[in-house]
Amino acid sequence: MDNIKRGQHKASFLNGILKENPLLIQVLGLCPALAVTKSLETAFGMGLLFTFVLVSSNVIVSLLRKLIPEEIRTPCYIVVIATFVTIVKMFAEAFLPELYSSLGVFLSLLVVNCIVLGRAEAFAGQNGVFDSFLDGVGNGIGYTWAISLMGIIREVFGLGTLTIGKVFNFFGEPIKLPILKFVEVTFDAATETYERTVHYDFSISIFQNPAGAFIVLGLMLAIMAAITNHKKAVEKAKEKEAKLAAAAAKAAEQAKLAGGAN
Amino acid sequence: MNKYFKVSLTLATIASGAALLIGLMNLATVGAIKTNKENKIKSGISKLYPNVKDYVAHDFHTFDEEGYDANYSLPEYPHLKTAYVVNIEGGTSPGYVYSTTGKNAYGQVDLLLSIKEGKIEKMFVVTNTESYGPTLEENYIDLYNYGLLEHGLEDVQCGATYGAKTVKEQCDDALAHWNANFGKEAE
Amino acid sequence: MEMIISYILAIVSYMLIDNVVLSRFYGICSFIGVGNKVKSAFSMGLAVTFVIMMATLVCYPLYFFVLVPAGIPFLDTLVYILVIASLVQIVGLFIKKNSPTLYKTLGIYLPLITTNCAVLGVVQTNSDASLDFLTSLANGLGTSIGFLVVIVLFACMRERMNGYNIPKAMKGVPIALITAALMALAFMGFGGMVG
Repeated sequence: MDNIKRGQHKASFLNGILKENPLLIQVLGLCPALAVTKSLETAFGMGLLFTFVLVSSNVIVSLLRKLIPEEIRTPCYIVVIATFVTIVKMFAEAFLPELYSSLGVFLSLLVVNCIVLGRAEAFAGQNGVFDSFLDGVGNGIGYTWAISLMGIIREVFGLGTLTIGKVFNFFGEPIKLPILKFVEVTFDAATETYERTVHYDFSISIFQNPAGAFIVLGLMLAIMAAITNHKKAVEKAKEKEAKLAAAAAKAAEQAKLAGGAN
Repeated sequence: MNKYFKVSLTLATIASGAALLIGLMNLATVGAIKTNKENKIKSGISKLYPNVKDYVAHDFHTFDEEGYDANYSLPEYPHLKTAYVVNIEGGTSPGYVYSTTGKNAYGQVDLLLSIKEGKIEKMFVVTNTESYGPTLEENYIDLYNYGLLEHGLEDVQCGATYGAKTVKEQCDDALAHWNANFGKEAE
Repeated sequence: MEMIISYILAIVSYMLIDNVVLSRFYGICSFIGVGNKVKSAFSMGLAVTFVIMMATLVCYPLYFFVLVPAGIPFLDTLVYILVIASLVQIVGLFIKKNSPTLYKTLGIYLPLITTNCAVLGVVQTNSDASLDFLTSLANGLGTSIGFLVVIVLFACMRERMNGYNIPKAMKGVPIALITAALMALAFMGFGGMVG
C-alpha cells in the first residue's frame, strides 16, 4: 500500500517534467512560450512565476474540491487562479521590476493559461493536496526548462550574446557573454573618444522576431515528436522481436518434443 | 432555492476571500512599487550626471498649477513626462534631464535625456518593450552615448528604424521645450 | 475628419501591423486548435469578434468609473475575467433562445472563448495603457478583425496542406507553427505602413 502511494507521488511529480511535458508533449501554453522567450532571463522568470501560480492554484483547488458545487466549478477555479496571478503580478512589480516590464501583459494572461486551468480541472479537482502540489511543481519545472531552452536558442542566435543579470539584477552589473557576436568598445583617454570594434558577428536577427519564435517552437516540437516516434518504433520492434523469439522457442521445443518422440 | 443559495454563497465567499488576499498583497507591495520607480529615475539621473547632488522635478501634468510656466501647454510636447533640474556637486550651472515616453507599432520606449548647450548629451533607457529593443539600444542609443553616431540623431541605419524614429521624436520634443524655457534662462 | 482618419489608422495598425496572433501572440491555442476547416475558423473568428467588442464595451466603464474611483484598480484582472466568463454564458443563452441557426454555428466555440487570451489581452492592454474609449474600441475592432482574417487564411492554408507528404514528425502542430512563421514573415511587410 505504502509503495503504491509512493509510486503515485513519484509519478505525479515526474510526469510533468518529461513524459507529459506541458509544452513539448501536450502542446499547451503556447502564447507565453512564444511571447516571452526573446531572452533566457525573461523566459526563466516567466517560468518561475508560472510555477508559483500553478502550484498555489493546484493546492487551493485541491483543498476546496469537495466544497465547490459542481455547477460553478470553472468560475471558482478561475477566481482562484486570477487571485494568484494578481498576487504574482504585484510581487513582480515590487521586487522584479525589470521582469515585470519585459513580461508586460503576459503576466495577466496567465489567468487564461490552458495549463493552469487544465491542471486544475484534470488533476487538482480530483486528487489529494500533496499529489496536486507535486503535480504543480513537476509541470512547472517541465514548462520552465522548455521555455528557458527556447529563450537560450532565440537569444544566442538572434542577438549573438547571452546576457545574465539584467532581469535578476541583485548582483550588480549584468554580464554579457559573447557567443556568436563580439563587439568591443574602448575609451581613448588621450582624445577622449570611444572606439568600437566588431570582432565577429554571426547573429541572425530573425530569431528575435515573431517569425523566429514560431520557427524555433515548431522545430522543437518536431524534434520531440521524432524522439517519441523513434521510442515507440523501438518498443514495437522489441515487442515483435520478443514475439518472434517466443515463437521460435516454442517451435524449437515442439521440434525437441517431436524429436524425443521419435 | 436552497441550491442556488449554496452556489451563490460559495462563489461570494471565494470571491471576497480573493479580493481580501489581493488587497493585503497590494498594501504590502504598494510602497516598494513606488520606491522602485523613484529609484529607477534616481539611478538614471546619476548615470547621466555622476556628480549629482539633488534634483527638482517639474511634472508636466502639474506644471500650470505650480505656476512654473503659464504659457506651457501639454499638447505641444506630447512625449514629455517630467523635467528635472539637477544640481551638480561643485558645478555652477544646473543640468537638465527630461523624462520622455514614446510609442510605435512595436512597443514603447521610455527615456531620460540630459541636455547640454542645446544638444542631447546622453540618453538613459528607463523601459524598452520594443520588439527591436536590444538592437535599438545597441546600435543607436549606446552609440549615441559614445558619440559614435555619424550623423547624430538622423541615423537610420541601425536596424531599428521605427524605434530610432520614436527616440528622435522624444529628443526633438525635449530640445524644443528646453530651448523655449531653460535655454533662455541659461543665457 | 482628422480624428476619424486617426481612428481608422489605429484600427489598421492593430489589425495588420501589430497583428493579434502573428506579432502579439494572443489566442495561439484557438489559432492552432481550430484546425483546417475554413467554415469553423470563420465562425470562431466571428464569435471572438463579438465577445471582444462586448467585453471592451463593458470593461471600459467598469474600470474607469467603478474600479478607479473606488481605489481598487488592482482588482482589474479578477473583474475582467469574471465579466468575460459571465458575458460568454449570457451571450450563449441569448443566442440559443433567439437564433438557433446562429447558435449552431457559434455555439460550440463560445465556451472556448473564455480562455482565449485575445479577449483578456485586449481588455487588459486597454486599461494598462489607459487608452481613451474610442481608441479602446478601435483596439478591440482591429484586434478581432485581425484575428478573423488570420485564422481564416491559416485554415485555408492548412486545408490545402492536407494532401501533402509531410515528414511524420512534422505532422500536426509543428508544421502549423512553421506555416504561421511564414505568415508572420509576410505580415512583417506591413510594418511601418502607419506612421
